[in-house]
Amino acid sequence: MKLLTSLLRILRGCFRKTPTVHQDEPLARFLTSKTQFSIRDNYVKLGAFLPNKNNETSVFRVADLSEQSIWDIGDKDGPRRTIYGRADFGARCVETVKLRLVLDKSPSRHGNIVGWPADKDEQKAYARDIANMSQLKIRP
Amino acid sequence: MTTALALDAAFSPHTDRGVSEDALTMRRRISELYDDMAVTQTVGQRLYEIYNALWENYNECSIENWDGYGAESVTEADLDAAFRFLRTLPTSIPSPEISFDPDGEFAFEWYRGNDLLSASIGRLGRISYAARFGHRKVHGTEYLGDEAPHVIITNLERLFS
Repeated sequence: MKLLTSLLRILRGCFRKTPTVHQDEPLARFLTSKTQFSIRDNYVKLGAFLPNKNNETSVFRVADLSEQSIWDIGDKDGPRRTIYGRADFGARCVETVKLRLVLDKSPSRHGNIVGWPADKDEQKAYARDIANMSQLKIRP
Repeated sequence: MTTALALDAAFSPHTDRGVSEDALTMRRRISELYDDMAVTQTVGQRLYEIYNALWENYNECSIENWDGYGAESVTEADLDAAFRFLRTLPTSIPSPEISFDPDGEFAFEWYRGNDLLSASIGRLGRISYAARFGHRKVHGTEYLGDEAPHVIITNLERLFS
């Protein structure tokens, strides 16, 4: 009986629908240093998108959320640092630069941009293109 | 602007490692010339502002996980490399924007409209750069020697020409 239960659990896992992200879905990267953007010239610097030591860039799915709710998510589930702003961009941007978005189960709206190349200059090239397609939002 | 940059390169502070009498004399002369330039209002003020910005930002990012995403701290070796890189740049180049990468490297960025050059300096002198000039995009890796790598200077000239 135990064996049958385990087998059923495994089978259920195989057929569970994997959450997917629509290409037009908006994503946000929370900015925790004032050096990551320029208010004067209204842009996000590419360094804001470079991956951490696990080769991941943390982002949040923000579709259907009010402005305030987005900032709240950043405070609650985000990087636990002062959030000065965020970079808004579409999920399409990630695929355009040939990276991938992997969703987390918890927090539910969290995901990581993965698939970064090993070489730093290539990472910068990818981050340059995402930054170019993103829009700076300063926290009120 | 290209001509100005080329002329200016002659006055860039070199960090040669020559040990002959001539080399030492030349190094002293260049250093004196550089000091003279540093006390002028235009050049000195600019260097002062950049170095100040480096220090301020260094303090912000010299702790582990400064960004909340697991970033490595910026070390004194990174700061030293950043100073060395700045000193090799022609003084006529506009002041860069300063930021940090999650691996603890300093990043210097120059923007002109939608075009940009971004160069990250590692503690071992590795320079990783990416640039965009209209539809043309370039990236690569160079190493800091006694002078700024030629490709970096060329790309800066392209950006500001």
